[in-house]
Amino acid sequence: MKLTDEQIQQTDQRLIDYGFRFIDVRTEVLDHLLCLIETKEHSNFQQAADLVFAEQETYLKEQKKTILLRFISSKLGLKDVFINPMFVIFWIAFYVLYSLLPFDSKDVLIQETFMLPMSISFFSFFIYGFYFFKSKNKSLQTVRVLFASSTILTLYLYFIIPLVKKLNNEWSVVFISAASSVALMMYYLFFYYKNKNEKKFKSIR
Amino acid sequence: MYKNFRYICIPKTHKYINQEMKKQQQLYKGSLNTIIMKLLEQNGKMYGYEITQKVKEITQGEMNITEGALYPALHKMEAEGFLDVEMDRVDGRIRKYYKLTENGVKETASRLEELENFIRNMQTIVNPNFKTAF
Repeated sequence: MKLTDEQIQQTDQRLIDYGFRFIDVRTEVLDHLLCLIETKEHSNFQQAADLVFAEQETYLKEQKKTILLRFISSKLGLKDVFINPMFVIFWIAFYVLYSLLPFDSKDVLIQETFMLPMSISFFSFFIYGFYFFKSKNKSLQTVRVLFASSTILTLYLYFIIPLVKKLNNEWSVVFISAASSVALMMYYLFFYYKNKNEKKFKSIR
Repeated sequence: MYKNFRYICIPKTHKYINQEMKKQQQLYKGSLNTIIMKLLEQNGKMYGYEITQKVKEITQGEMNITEGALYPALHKMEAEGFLDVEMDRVDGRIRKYYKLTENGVKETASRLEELENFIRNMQTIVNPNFKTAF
């Protein structure tokens, strides 16, 4: 049975309704189900699709369960944050900015700015949250950068801040700038990977 | 080579009791990655459904790789860097093809050797008079 674009769209929508809202996961499941539907000897598409969905119920449930596991077991994505040249650009920009701030001493500057990276990243969690619950075509990679960046910031909060307070002033500003850069990367990488993935899937569709 | 897999997988029409089938499934599970890698080595790039059909075809329907086992294995090998992914538009939808990476090719050779040794040793233990083909 050769499937029409409309039938493919219907199956895709059915998978979205089933809970497959990550496009990179759904693409493969969709192709597999369509291959099975095509092999059915039904002349009626709806009957063939119903039959395949019923036969593959266990597989679909398992796949759905493994989405988060796949996400967690995939590499943390530290590379996504640190290898991107924008990280270095933001880092230098923050260093220059903090150095230009009109504080009497570096001690006061550090006292006033060491929590800034956490504040900068605050709103990105709302953006990711909205994307995570609303988007029907989200990708694992886009959400993965949230985990990578927030892990780095958690490390900063619990381990680097005590270090920042002990180090000499110059190095403290370097660390605060790096953490601020990571915080800003949370916004940048969100849009960077979102656009990249949308382009990638659009070019194939 | 594939004929030997029959000793470690479940024949589709066999009337084993569930417990025994589960035991055999464990043996088969251990070789699943090697089977996939071998197929990719032979065929270049393949997609999930194609792999299941190829295994059925080679073993004349005696061996059946389920989707529930195949895809997690593919994703795991992809995460480990043994497989690379390529996406193409085929028949109005996106198809995800898997192919071996450089590391994957090396790993395939090593795993095949391990599997061949394993089968040879099992044969020696189970049936000392049986002579393996390799």
